[in-house]
Amino acid sequence: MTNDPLLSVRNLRVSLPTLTGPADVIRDLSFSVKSGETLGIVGESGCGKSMTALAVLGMLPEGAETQGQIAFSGHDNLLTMNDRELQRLRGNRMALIFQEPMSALNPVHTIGRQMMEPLTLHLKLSREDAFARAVELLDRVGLPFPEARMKQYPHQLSGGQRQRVLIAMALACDPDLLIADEPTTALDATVKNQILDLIAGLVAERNMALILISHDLAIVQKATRQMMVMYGGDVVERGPTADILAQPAHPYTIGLLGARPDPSKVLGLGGGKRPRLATIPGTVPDLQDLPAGCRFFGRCDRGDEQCGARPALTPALNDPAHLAACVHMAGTGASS
Amino acid sequence: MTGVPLLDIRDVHKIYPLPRQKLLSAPEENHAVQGVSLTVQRGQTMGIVGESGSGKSTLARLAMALEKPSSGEVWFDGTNLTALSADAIRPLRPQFQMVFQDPFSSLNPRMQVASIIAEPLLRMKEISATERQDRVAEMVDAVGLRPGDLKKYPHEFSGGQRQRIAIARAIVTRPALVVADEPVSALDVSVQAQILNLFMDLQDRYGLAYFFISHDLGVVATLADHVMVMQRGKVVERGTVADIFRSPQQDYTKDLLAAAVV
Repeated sequence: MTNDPLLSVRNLRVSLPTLTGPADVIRDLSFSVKSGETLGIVGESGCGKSMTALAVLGMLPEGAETQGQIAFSGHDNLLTMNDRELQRLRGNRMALIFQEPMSALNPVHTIGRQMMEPLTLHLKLSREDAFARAVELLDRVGLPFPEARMKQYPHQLSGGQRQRVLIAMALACDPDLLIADEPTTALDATVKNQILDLIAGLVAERNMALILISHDLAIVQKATRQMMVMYGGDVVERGPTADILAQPAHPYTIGLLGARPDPSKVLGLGGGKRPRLATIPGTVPDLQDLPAGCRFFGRCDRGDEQCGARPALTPALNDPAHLAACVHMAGTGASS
Repeated sequence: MTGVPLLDIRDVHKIYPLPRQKLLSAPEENHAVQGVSLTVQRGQTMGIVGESGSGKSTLARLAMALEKPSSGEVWFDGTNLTALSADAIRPLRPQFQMVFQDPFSSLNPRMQVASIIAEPLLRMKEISATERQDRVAEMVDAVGLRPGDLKKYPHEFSGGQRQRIAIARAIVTRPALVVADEPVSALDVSVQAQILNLFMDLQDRYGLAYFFISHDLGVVATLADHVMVMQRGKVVERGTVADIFRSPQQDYTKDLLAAAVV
């Protein structure tokens, strides 16, 4: 067990073609994850969180331009590797759990066939060994009657069961890095907790690194130790999950936390007018129309001429582990 | 608050037939709603919480008289809707309107925003063309759209803006009751907050009653007066927002509560 990061992203830039020329969906992103670490990436649609995952997996859409470096487990730069080499890593050393458990499974193939495919492909197991290992994996993710499930089709399982199958498939080759993109969004609240517990348990048991992408702060709080908040293709805040949620420093993070409907805020209030939720004015800017400096400029009540330059990540609240990219952080009052 | 409740649902059941498992086996049934009773008073909000399959959307369709209950009755403002034919219900529909979850599929992509919002008024013969235009203009302002948006098509808007259009269409007839089925579930957190505030503003302005359905207890707590928790077609818990949150009685409610809090 070395202390080197398993995944190290340096100065990553991703631009996509638009009608008015290329637009940076990620500009200058750097972060790293070690084995056994859990990193949450939080943000709203269009902030670049899923693009980050796709860049790491080498699955960016056609026409995407990249710069920078993604080093992973002894490989110098994934961005310069060809499809064949990447394919050998995907599903094998790194695995992805998608949001939508219905569309991620092939409806015309049995669970067994889909479970065995990575095992015969990457691990070169025989059919008998692959079958036994698949049953073992389905059992490990808590699916009852795993042998009978092998013969079933995806439509015969519930949403939670399908998500368990996808997790089992992602684990099939014992990956070093697990990327989960909104893994519980399509699931009910009670099932959500079971799936999160399952992922957290497996990550700890196998000393995997986990990148959990979600818009839902509650699940990031539950399943990750570190988090970063993205907005308009930039990381605007990063640090220990508990610290950021307790004392957010960036105006966007503060807005995001304030906008959450929180039952405790409305309790103890008598009749009369209901309190309104705090809102962030405006909407996420269009890709073709991103501000040049701070991307949150225009929706931020602290914005002024200093925001015209891109702010660097600097320590927030005198904590070297907790960084935020805002020139107006001093005296935020977030610590009151 | 005495008198006739605005919406009075009395012991409704809804049973859907399922296909036979085998050729000769008896057809099975899905008992989607099992004996639910509730009332909603004018200007009040009833929040319904539950997971998929709990019967909450079926209950919404029953409340809107889009389906007939298998047994039980749905009364709206002193009228038994269950006893009326579809033709007899139609003139009453302007008084209860619905907002759906998905702002992408609930708006006709070929219609301009002005026509979408005006459509429910076309059936109301007492409303003249000029009054129709005035009402549409008022609604656009009330839901926070711009007059310039009237000539646009749904695809030109974000999810939050589309939900504003859907809300404008629902309240343009000046209904007493709006049934909203997961109206903010497809939206980002910051947009969700804007739309929830809009629901509260419109309630203050027009005295609307809401029948508001969500899987998220936090969302329901923000705007409901009373909450009903549904599980597998039955009401497992009901009370004021404060009751439910201070001392949830059922494990199921506690689970939902745990999922809603950071």
